[in-house]
Amino acid sequence: MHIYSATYREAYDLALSVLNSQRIELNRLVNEVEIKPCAGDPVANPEIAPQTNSGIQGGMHDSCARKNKKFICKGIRGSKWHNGVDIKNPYGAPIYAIYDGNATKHVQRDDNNELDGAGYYVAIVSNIGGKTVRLVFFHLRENSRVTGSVKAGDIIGYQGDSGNLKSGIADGYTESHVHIKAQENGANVNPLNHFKTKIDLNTGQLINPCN
Amino acid sequence: MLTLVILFTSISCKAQLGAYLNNINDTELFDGIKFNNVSLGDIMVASGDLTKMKDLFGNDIQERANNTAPFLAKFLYKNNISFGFEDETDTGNNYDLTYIKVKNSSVIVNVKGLSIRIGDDKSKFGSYLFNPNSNSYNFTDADTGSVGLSFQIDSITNKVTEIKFIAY
Repeated sequence: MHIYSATYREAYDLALSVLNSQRIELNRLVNEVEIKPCAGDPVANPEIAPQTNSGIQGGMHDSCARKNKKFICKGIRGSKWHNGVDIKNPYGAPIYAIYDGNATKHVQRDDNNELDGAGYYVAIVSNIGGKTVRLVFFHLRENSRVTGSVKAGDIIGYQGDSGNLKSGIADGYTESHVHIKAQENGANVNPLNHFKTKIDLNTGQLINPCN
Repeated sequence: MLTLVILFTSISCKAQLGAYLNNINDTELFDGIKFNNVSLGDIMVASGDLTKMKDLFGNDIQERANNTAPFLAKFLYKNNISFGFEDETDTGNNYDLTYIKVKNSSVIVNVKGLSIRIGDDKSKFGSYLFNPNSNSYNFTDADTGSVGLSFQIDSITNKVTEIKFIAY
């Protein structure tokens, strides 16, 4: 009986220890999710999400990190540029408006009516210094996406895995991220130009964290 | 407890990023991957042009009227296969292949010497890496890992249930 109690107690202590350490880790992650971003950033502490074989270049705007036989990217035959950026964001974390503007919500489906490509996405059109700026946020959750007038800092939706992101994560190509595209007067530009926080283009990590 | 399971799964998946991908070179990608003997490279070069796609896949291929993508796009389909092409420049000159989805067993897909159709047994893949997290075989380009040919396996029957190509 004594032996049983001791074993039980050890197992109990071990389980408690594991649970406590996981609780601490969980709290850290929850806090990370709940940190509000700097004014002018779409997520807290934005960093580039890497792709498996190309690393952070795969998540950068204007990198020749896509394959297509039709294209030549910066002299590399069979390569295509990546339009937009992939910003790390855990599933369920909020995404914030960078500017005041008008939001519309959309969904991309294939011919079988299944979610595809961008999945559930939100586009926000703003007037910034006389330019029409359109920012599009891909792979959101269906619910709680906003429409209509938004203010900078408003939550516009929550991170999901909609569209092709779900298989991208499951199959091991990338990790959870919001894909962001930006246009100024209809021309594609680097979305990072519109972030308050600056990101190191070599490491993909933030340079001037405000939090 | 559910939260912990999700947490463990999340950490586990993160650690295994790319661990089960079968890498292929450009020739194996553009020329070696085929759908009913049409190479992936030729489909990419057709760039969503309906006439060119009819030359490759027959006159019964059609273009879907509505576009739900964020930018200019063309979606072509027939009874056994469908294709997506998007032009992120919005100029109409740069349609990029974004997906191919095989709908039934009438389409034979080639990659790395394999010849696979929906309904085939898992054993046809031999020693290629299998992803137990997604229950699939995945082939990607060695340089960027930005495109993927995926064969989904039913965990009970061990048969191929889905074949798709996705440009991420």
